[in-house]
Amino acid sequence: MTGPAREDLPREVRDQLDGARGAVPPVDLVDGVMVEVRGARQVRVWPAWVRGSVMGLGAAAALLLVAFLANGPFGGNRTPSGTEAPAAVPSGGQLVTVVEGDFRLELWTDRKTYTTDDPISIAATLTYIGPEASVTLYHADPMLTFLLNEQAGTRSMGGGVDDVCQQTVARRNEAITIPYTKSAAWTPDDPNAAFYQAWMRDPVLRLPAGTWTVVVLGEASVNTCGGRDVSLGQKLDISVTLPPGATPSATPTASPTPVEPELTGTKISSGQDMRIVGWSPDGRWLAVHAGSGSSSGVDLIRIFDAKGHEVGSLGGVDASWMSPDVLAVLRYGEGGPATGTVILHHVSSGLDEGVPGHFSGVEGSGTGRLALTIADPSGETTTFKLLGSDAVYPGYPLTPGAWDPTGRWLAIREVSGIAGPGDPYPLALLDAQTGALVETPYKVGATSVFFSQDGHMLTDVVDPTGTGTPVGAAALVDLVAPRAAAVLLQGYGSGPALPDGRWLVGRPELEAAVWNPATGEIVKIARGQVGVSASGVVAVVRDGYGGQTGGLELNGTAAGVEAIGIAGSGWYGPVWSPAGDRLVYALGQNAGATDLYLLAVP
Amino acid sequence: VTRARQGDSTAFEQLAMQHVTNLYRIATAMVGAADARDVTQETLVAAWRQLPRLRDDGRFEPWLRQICVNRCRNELRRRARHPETNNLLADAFETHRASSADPSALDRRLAVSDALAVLPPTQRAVVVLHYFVGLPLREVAGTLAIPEGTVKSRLGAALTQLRAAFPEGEA
Repeated sequence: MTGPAREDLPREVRDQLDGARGAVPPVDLVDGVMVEVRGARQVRVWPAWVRGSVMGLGAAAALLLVAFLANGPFGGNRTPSGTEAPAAVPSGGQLVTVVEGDFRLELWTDRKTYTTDDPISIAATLTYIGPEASVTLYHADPMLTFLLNEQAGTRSMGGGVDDVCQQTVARRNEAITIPYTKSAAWTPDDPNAAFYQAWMRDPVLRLPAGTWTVVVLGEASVNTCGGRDVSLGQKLDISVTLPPGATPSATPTASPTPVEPELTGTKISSGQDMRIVGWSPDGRWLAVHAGSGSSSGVDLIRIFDAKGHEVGSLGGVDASWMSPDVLAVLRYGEGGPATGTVILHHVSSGLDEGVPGHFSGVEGSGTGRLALTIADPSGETTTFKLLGSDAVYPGYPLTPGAWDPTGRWLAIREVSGIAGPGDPYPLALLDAQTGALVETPYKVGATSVFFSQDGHMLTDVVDPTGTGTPVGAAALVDLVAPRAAAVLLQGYGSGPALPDGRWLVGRPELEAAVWNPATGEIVKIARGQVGVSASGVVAVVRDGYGGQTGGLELNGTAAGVEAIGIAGSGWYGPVWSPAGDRLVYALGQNAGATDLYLLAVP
Repeated sequence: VTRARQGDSTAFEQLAMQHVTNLYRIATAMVGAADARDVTQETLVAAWRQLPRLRDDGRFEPWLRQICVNRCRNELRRRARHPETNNLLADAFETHRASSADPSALDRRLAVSDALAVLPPTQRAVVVLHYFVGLPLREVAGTLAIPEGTVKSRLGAALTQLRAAFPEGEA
């Protein structure tokens, strides 16, 4: 069906859409984007446990994070060691300008090229050019913040502001000059911490050799505190070289010394869009989904034995282990998720059982239970049921890992109607033994959930303080008292449990960390994809992005946990076998191709 | 796309230049000219940050469009929660100013904007993707991650509401 004809629309709406068809973006729109792009780092392909509300934070939030670090509990601060702005850009200097609404922002440096010994002068001006004689700007301190980003390295300094509401009267056509002020932020185990400390101790602005991007950002509200009436950014590059006869050691550096990982698995398969479903509960089988999961195209569920030999495959867009030998497989019909069907595939015998009804999701407990999200062709409801029961509940199980290890508790996003991925809906627990739905005080978006062996659940919740602030947190819920207040870890994504009561947590701008809810201690351990075995060994498929290796001591210990590193840059995994003697992980290539590796761990 | 995914900001800038016009037009159709810039900018910044997750370079354009539509829906939801920040009046005022004081243009724009505003974000997304972007219903379903049948029902509901708002405009 091609749908109703365009002529079915009222004329006024057609006119409206035709008007949009001729819309031309502002000429500086991409410039504005690139200022933010170069001031913010790309996220990496984090495992599902890091994805969630935190991952949805925009570049502005990332900058706020930097500002927080500069003044927060980590190392770092700002010094008023700025340079004076000259009346005019000196010969040989650089000046860049951006105009946004009623304001003009200018950024300049006194030269384009420096040596590592040379003081560097940077300043910016903000000028009100609107129709009023003057306006009052409410802003952080300082009004403009500067970033220095090393183009070929990992060092980045700046962004520190005090989040207060200062006032400045901006008179028409009078430039307000903001000299550069040093700021930097780091955690104690930051691989560049030594450099940042040495750099901050120097009262003069000097930089190591290389090309650096200078970014200035400013946000303010006009005539009232709060908001973003003014939001401007600009950047330029400067080049820093070693003075004649100098050696690189003259510049303080603290680049990490990478420890090369020693372990590499054996490639057992390659294909398009391969995603690890998981090991069967007894570790005998491994299920992998190959395909994009769309209603068009061919998707396969491929099954391997523990040694990596493929033992079979069947069509399906998703799968989940219901019990050690039964894999529940979801298939789409012609109507996509609205006509999905589920079969129970017995791996040993190859027999398939159909499940009556149409479903759009499956989540097995591994202990014999199966949650089925019910397909609704109207698209207006989201409900689920348990296999073998007629009771229908609102919402759907969080995936993956919605069941606790005992197969009693199922974590639910209690959606009423249709929800977007980030829309907050109540987090609830279904007691599969009694059929009772137990509410929690928290709301979640589309997120993952993790259970420990000692009866706790960690998941990402939205706006945990109920203030309307879209800040996420990892919430640790006690299954004995799920309605009680959880232990919250603001700004982090949830992750798997360690056997000693600690949890892996993470967020996109920082590395994975170990969190101890009892003490509140957070220790960064790795940059990369992380998996935890039942005995608590952390495996990291190293993130090779940008040539960075992270700071993990590979094949050793980090934060008191045994850790092993695996060569390669990972998309998915690593996923430990239940016995902790095998790891499977998938490495992405271009155009969606994926290699699947299996590693026997001594 | 591959280079941008690996962190090459210059490559990403080229991609942004290539797609910015289409994104801006979708945003204009979805949320109006007053917020189209912000939505487009947020879309591209989000795309940069999320690009390493894109596993099929050939899907870049629909993936980018999906981000844009989601951003637009977020903006529409935000307006619904905070109607005082609705920019439709400002948008209409801009049209009025640009059309050199033609009162009928302002009235017409206000009426049209109001009519689109009464559509829920989900229905508006379906209308824009199908009639404005020109996507077949199956691709609309894929972009919005909803069944094709839902696309059809939402289109029908949207047309009913729009016809009620513009009875004289029916074809």
